[in-house]
Amino acid sequence: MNLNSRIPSGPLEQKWSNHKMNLKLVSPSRRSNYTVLVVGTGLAGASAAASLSEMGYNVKSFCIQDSPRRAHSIAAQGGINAAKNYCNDGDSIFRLFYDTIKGGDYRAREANVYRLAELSNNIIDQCVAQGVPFAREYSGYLANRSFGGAQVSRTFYARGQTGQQLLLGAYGALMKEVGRGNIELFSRREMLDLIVDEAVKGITVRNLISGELETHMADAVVLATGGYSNVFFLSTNAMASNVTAAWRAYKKGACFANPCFVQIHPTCMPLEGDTQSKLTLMSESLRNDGRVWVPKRSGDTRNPSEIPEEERDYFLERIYPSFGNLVPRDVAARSMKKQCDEGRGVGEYKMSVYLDFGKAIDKFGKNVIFEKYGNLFDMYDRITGESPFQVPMRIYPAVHYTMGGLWVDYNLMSTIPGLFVLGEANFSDHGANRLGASALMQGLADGYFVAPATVSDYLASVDPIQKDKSSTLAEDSKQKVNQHISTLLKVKGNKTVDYFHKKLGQIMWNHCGIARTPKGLEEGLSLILELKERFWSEVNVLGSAKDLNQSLEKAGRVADFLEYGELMILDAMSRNESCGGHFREDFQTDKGDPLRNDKDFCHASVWEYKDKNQAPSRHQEELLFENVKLSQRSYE
Amino acid sequence: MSFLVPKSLIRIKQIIAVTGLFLIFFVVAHLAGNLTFFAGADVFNGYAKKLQNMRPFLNFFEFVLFLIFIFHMYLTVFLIIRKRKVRPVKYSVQKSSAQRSFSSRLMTLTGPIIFIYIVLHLLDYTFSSHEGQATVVNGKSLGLYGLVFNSFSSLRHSLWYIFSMVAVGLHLDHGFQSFFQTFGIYSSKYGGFLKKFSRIFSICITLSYVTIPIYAYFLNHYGNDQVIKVGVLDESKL
Amino acid sequence: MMSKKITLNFKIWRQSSPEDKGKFKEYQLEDVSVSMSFLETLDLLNEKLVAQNEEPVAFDHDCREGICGMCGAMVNGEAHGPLKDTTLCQLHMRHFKDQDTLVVEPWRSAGMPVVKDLVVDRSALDRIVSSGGYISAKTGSAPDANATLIDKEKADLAMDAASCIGCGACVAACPNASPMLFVGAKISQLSLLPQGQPESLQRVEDMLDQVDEENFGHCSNTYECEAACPKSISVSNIARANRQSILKSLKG
Repeated sequence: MNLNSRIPSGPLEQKWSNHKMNLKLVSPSRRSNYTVLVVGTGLAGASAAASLSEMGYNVKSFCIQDSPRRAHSIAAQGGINAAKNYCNDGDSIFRLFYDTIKGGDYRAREANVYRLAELSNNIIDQCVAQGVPFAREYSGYLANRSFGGAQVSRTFYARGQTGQQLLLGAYGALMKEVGRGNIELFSRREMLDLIVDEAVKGITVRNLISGELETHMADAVVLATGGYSNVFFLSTNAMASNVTAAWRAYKKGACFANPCFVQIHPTCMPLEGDTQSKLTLMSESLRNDGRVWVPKRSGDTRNPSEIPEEERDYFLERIYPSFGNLVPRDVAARSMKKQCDEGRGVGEYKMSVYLDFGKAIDKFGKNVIFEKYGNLFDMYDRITGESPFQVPMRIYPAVHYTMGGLWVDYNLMSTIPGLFVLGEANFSDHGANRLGASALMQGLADGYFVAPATVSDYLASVDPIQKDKSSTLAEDSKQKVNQHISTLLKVKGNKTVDYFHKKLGQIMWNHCGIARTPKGLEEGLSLILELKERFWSEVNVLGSAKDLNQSLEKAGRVADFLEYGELMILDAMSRNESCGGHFREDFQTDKGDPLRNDKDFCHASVWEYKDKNQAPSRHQEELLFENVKLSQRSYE
Repeated sequence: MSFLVPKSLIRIKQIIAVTGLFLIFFVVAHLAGNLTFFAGADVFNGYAKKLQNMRPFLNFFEFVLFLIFIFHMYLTVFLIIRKRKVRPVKYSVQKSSAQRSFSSRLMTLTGPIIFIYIVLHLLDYTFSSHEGQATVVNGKSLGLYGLVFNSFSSLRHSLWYIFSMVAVGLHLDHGFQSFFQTFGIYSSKYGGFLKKFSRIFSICITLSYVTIPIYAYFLNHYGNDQVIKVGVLDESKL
Repeated sequence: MMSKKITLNFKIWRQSSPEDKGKFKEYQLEDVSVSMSFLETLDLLNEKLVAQNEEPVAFDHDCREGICGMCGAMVNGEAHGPLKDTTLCQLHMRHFKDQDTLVVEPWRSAGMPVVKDLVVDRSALDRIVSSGGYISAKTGSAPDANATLIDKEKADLAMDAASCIGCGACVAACPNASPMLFVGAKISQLSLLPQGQPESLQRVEDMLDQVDEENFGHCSNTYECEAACPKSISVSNIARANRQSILKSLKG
């Protein structure tokens, strides 16, 4: 496997502009001869579809929900980073780059991350022009806040609904092109196959309403289908978020990189019962004013108000005095888990810690706190029935974002020519751990600015697809997908799809979650293999393939998650170090901090699918650091 | 004549709102005329006469008013017909929010009541003879004043009039604030005020209108001749 | 302390396809923990149905945190159920009592026809947005973000309007099935911002024309939409859109 990352030569600051100069162009009059399919309408997908269409390409956009506006980017709360340095607090493109590389525990590509930091400023400009109502000062200037442990205020936000507002901006741009007849929109479609013949040729989707399979042939395909957090069943992701599109592309030859890198978000609503379907995330901006604590004594069942100050352990402030409650996500999440594992957890299931606003309310007053976190407090109250003004919030970590994804080169092209992967679906920019407020930035950078340039470069080198010549490919693909679907329907066992999904989630959380051990991973692997076998003999999918059948949809996704979980565990087993979201208990410092192994693992692990009966092969893309010095992260 | 078949819902609403506003002006002006009833037969009849003397300008005004009224109704009916199509399957249970005013729920009821009322009202007072037996009070013909006075001696007629005026009030309560909303004068800041304003306004209108039948009824049944005479100050002017 | 469990009686609309006439079916569900959300309760019901070899109830849902706008149904005659400012996914069963009967129906409107059970087709709302609910800022053409200053007050009002999640509850609750709160919120957001000014009047005309083309009704200012809106979007946004429309007719 030749993993050519195509990183341009030259100084870091000039790589992207030099590269853009070298990218081939398609002349405006020829662009309408090319068809580009964009799968997914989140930040990356919607912005890419809109931008490519504005350039004049023939674009088809696909989404799994009933409307492009529902994509899960909409749920991002906190904000979006940009190196504008509007606060004059010493921010710069290089600093944002540096923080992102360091935050990712030195497992991301320098060149990609620098480009991301560079483009961050254009994103804010673009979004403001689209009417995204970012928060403003009374002066009318844009407001910024510090977010997720950053030591500069570089985060732009729209109340606690930044993702929603950015997505609606991109959705507006997409719908503008749809309205003008430049983009054909296909909603309620699920991509079930990638058609490849040396290069990408199209996709097969299932119309979720009619059940019909449709093939769409194209010159390039852009996958922006998000991450795989739902392999854990319980995560902060939306119900429809899945790995299927990426997984089926993987099975067609697109390599998968760093599948074990998963981000656990520390501030989520805790688990309240076995029927719970979702762990709702609350913006970690809450940690700016909230203080995390547990009772000092394990098994303390008193109400929080009855526990005096001296019997509380503000453990983040104690262990990490300089960062306190604002330590990075992975550090916070691990600390919380440790407290709960040691029996000091609170709540009905003893699986949560307090996030207390008492001191902040005393200091700033109820109104100021409400102004800042009102909607989050309301949300918490609505779900738990408790007001954070009266009772401290309870939080627990939950899987939130996945850094791994399909491997892409600097052009965001996968190992299949013509298949581009954007946003969370690729692996490129966040290394082993993503900084807060960076996901939105990456999705939009990829979609608005990178893909339009690099997809053009690819198209300039190919002739427009001949639709008639590709009909056998299309029929083949349809037939295979059909077969897969009827196999699922034919099992007729006695367990629901959710039963298997929940089981898989438990295996993943217990064996490949916040902290991993070689033994646990081994166990997890065999449990998954066993579960997979049971799935194919015991699952019960009712209804037919000929109409809206939500069980069937789920069944297909869970079948892929079962295979995906296996790859994740393989990756976690083979990465003999701790870094970012991947914490191996056998690789930690005396103080319990993750211990990287830069000598042997300063690379992306890249998995190549062989076939059903053969283990995937592991390749490595070595990561070269020319502009930053690798250091041990320390937040004490 | 494209405005006869308006294709835009928002335009229809705007026309209904604007015609409604004109009708409100008319209701106010009409009320001012009615209240001269309290000043006695000569003032009241004098006012009526003055109006009649304004023809043919009055004809033109009546014609415009007629058009406005017809348009207001026609477009509303148009919307109601469309409304029947927008929810082909009804909810088996539908709760209305507390926010929705009583008056807005009754619009399609108060509208027709007002229409029937106006037709009868025109037959009773406008297209009827202002002379003869029906105008005689205490042996004297008091013209239109007498006609009105006598008609309100009937409890049934008075109650129907009062009922109709309540319908007018309810119609205005929703209609008036609705005008502000449709013309975009409503805002979060003033919305509450406008709603209150239109409520008080419509209550005032209804109360003012119903004083006349009550006054006439009680005068007729419990008043003495003197009072009636007081009401008819200068007979020579009749 | 363990969460309380209750038993609920459901009367749920079952309709196999757009052509099917559909009818209510009754189910009893035991062991509903009061900390469950409404959708989790439907999940539980569906698990039970599958176990009995009955097709599960189809319902739309996605983020389950009240922001995607995918879920929604009439519960006992109220859009998104009885709790104010709440989507169905955030409605928790602690708001119901043991042995309560819940009548669950899909949004009903000719503009949003039923697809199956509780699932409706809301693509009309997308078409309304594509007719003009955006600012035409081509990628790459934007000036510096701070080049245009915006009143905080106006930015906040725009944000209030922009928090619409496009769930369709306003249409569902409106006696005339009018989408004016949805449309008004978008028009209002964009017309409050200086960036949105150049297209402002054209946008109003185009979007309202599209409303007419879909099978929606007119707004008769009953404000049912505001009461049903899970994001408590104010009807003053409709007024603002109406104002734009008047301006458009004055300017021709």
